[in-house]
Amino acid sequence: MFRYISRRIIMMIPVLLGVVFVIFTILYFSPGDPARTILGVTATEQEVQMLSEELGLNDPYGVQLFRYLKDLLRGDMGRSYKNNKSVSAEILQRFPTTLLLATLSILFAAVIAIVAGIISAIKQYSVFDNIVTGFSLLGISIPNFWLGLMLIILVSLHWRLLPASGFYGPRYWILPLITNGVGYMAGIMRITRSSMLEVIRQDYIRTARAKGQREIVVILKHALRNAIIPIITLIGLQFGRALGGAVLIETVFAIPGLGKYLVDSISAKDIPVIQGGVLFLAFLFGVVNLCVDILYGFFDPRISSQYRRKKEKAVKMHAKQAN
Amino acid sequence: MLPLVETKGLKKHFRVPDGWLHAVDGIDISIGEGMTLGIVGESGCGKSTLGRLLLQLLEPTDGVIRFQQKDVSSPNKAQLKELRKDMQMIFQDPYSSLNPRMTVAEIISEPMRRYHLYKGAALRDRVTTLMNTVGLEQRLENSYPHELDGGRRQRIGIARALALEPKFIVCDEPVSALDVSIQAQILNLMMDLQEEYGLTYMFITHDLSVVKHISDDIAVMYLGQLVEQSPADRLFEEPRHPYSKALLSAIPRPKIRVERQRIILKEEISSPINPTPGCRFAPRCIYAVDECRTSNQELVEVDSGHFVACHRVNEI
Repeated sequence: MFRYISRRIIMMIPVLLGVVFVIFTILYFSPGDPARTILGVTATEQEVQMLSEELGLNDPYGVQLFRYLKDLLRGDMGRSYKNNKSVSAEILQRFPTTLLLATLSILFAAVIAIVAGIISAIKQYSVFDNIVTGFSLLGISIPNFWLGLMLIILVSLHWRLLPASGFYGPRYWILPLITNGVGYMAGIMRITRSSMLEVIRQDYIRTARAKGQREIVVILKHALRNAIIPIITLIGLQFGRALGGAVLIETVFAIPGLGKYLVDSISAKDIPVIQGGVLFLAFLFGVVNLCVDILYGFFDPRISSQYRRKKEKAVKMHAKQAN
Repeated sequence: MLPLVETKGLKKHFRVPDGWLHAVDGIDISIGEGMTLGIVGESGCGKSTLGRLLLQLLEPTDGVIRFQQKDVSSPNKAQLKELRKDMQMIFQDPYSSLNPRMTVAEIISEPMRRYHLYKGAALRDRVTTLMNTVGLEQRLENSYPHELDGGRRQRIGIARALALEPKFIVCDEPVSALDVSIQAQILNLMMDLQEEYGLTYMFITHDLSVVKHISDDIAVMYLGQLVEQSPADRLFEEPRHPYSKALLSAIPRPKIRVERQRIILKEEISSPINPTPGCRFAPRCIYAVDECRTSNQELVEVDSGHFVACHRVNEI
């Protein structure tokens, strides 16, 4: 298992290099002069030229790319053109907020959705199942910024129960969490229901019942464990996306997160921030994917056992050769 | 001898879009302790449903199931829990009936953990013993089912069924998914186990040579009802019901130059959904008269232990 994980981590390096290359190239060839953007329309042509020279923007493409990679290895993502702050520091400062919001929303969504999805699969076509199916259709259809606005109007303005914007403590988390979570919840519910429906018709579920196993164990251990792979895959994807920052939610609730930072930098053509932000997101996605793959091994012992077998075989081969 | 398992008028009807599907429609059987009752019939005649009813994996629509003279037709949770210890099932398809996420040892030990029968080292010993009993090498205990062949998988299914030391085992086509060479091994294993532990079997199959090999009595099922029941040898020598005759005539015989009198049934099997009154077999029966189409004949004893459900049994 350790070998598997370390191999996966090493495999992330070329992926990240590819991301750097692509994003750097796109931004390099995109129209507009960064120096002009920084100095504004009032600056003279000479001032723009001087700044370009200073930032190394006049160097050839290859030199610039190499310099960026070299800095990156030292953890330096450059400085924002807009306010001259270190990009990596800015990202790390905003990341905890985004991580917190993403984790809370996914947890909130997953717990409710998996339980509801299981019940609705067991009691297929019951009233509960119809409610769950109806809810997930609604949840997928409703745009979340609209839901956020409606919640603000109703809960914050009308009932005055919760604050409408900011992100300073648990009371502030609730509305963004619901807004964000409903969409995730709908997706997880659907996949849990369909995956469970498929599994509970399998013969080995009947075997488990014939063994005299308690129904709750049959459902959780025999059925859910076999149904969970697609559920985890979906949650992993959603979590990766959520870490990229829910731009609309952050805008609606005025949350100082990664998504908003990145979008603002794009409209300002703040190239170091765009590069750094996209690269960081790619890295996060890689990490989430790796976690999902490790979880696969945990929930589906066949995957990790394959690995173990291979290793045993390799060891045996080795021993044979040594003899 | 008192029967171990007995049913009276057992019925299971399923609701389907077109009405009611009479999967099992009034079955009386009784199996003596240590005996094997073979249930034969073509696909879809309700054999498996009958097995699942006996094991309480399905709830009967009507009728009585008795186990050791006690009515167990609609057990409560506690009764069901006890009942599971005495009645087990070996399933048809060893590829789909084992949880792919569990190792061999986990599958076999689960029933014992459920009933808290063994713990720790004793549990491990017990699993090893069971694996030995069914002829599984001990090195396989940490394997997953998908790593093993069909015969070994079915051995896991048998070890699992034996784990609680049941008295009665329903074998639902336990060898039909296996190669012929493996079939014989598994059948012999099951017969050895029966002798060793005094097990009672209900053996469901559509394979007539298999059922002859293992059964004491054979019941022939057609569209949810029994048409004939008799000691195994007698049935093969002298089938009395027209359907049994047709069924047995379909067994390939390895003799040369002996003209096989195969009875080819006309038409397809009729639908088990909303069946009409009268004998279920009448639409395909060459002997059918008007009476057959209007009233259904119950099983009647024509010879000692030989029961047939046919109006014209004495004429044909």
